Amino acid sequence: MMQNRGRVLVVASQKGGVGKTTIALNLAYALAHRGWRTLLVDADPQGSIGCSIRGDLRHQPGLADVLRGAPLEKVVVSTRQSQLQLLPIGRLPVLEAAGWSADLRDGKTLGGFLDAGRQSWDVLLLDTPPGMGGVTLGALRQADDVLVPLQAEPLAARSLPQILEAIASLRERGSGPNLAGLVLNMLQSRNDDSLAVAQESWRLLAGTLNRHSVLDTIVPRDNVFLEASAEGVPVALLRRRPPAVAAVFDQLAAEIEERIHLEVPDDERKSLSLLD
Amino acid sequence: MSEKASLFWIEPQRLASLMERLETPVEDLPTAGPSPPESPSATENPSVSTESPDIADPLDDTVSVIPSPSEGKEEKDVAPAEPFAQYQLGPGSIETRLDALLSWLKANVNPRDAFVTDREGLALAGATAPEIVAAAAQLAGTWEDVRGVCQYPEDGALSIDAPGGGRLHLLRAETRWGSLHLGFVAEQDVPSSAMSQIREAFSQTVAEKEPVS
Repeated sequence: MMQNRGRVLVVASQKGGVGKTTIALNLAYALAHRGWRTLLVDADPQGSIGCSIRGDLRHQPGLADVLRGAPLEKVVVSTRQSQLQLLPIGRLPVLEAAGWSADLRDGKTLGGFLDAGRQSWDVLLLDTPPGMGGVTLGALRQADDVLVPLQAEPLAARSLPQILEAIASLRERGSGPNLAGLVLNMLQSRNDDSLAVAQESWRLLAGTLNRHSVLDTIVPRDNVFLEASAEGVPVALLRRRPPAVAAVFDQLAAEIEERIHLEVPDDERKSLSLLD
Repeated sequence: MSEKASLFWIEPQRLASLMERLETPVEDLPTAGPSPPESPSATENPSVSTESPDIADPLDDTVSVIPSPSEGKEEKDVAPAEPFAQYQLGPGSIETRLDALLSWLKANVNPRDAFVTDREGLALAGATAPEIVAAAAQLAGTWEDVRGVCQYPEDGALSIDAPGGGRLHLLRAETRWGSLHLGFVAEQDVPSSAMSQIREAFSQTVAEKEPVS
């Protein structure tokens, strides 16, 4: 499924704790599972992806090193899923993180790295820190698409207009991504407040171009995510028979595939005969 | 403001307008092209929307948070006209109580702006000028960074000269929802005793045990 030019998809939100990293990790795995050559980039100076995966990623070279000139191909980390590679945050001293992030604000430094990455991967998926800090703004300036997790919780809902305003402002200044969609996350179907956020999202965030800005996929709040986090794996690898909720990310990957216009070869669009 | 604010704390019409701005593919936007210079002001770039007074432009770097030197500054009377009314923590949700806190603050300090933000700079209560919220968000973020490298006193406060006059004061409280910041712009200096009362009222307001509903 190699494309001529990969897509850069950023996962971003104004508020922390809405599940960006969980979505980025599991979506990256699901996209790779569907055959897309995927690079999951940890752009959070706190190294959230590295903290989410079993193995010693936290002290390995990564994005920070690449932006200082280290060769990308020597820094990416291979995974059990052959189509998925990781780029950890890299060696970034805590006290230098703020300055490092600020330096990336204009997107130019990240742009060089991402352009190189587009030649080798179908999807470059960036997990970002919360808020509109430098690295997030820089990534959004260079991204093709942005996926915004919307935690189904009232306090989190209030941050949504701010991230949408930021994206809209970037676009109107000539350097911003398309909105791939909003994905409802941590929905508690037996909690009225959580459901109210979902219902209000469906009611108010309808799109204008024959599509809904809120993706059909809903990620529930589920203890399986805690288990997977404790084990340091995507939910699909939690057990040999993946838990049911893992299928949510297969659905999300399929939706994203359409939303960001990944080029599926024609022969893969045809139906298959059941009896053969 | 003809429609009731939604759970997103923005009028549905405004939210719909925001979504429309996001639905047009980037390629079809009239201004799509090379990145303009960093942080243009709205007057330099007419395409930048300025019709969202309750959402600070998150890309605006032009907000000044640099305190001016105090030398030569006219000293102001520090005492409020009336003694502070006792703060009574009322019932209700966190939103209701934050609103009550701000009402109490306005009645006693008469600030030009008063608001509460979370650690990401999101205004949770209080209708304020966007540039003040943006300045407070920058300060709050810096405050959190400072706390990461040294033991900054829990009862510390930040105060700087505010854009447009007055002083922007920022108080911090650690809560079950993370750190929250109370910000207000006072035209008059606030005495330390009054600041202590405000801090206590803020702490009481956000010291809730049960989840937000």
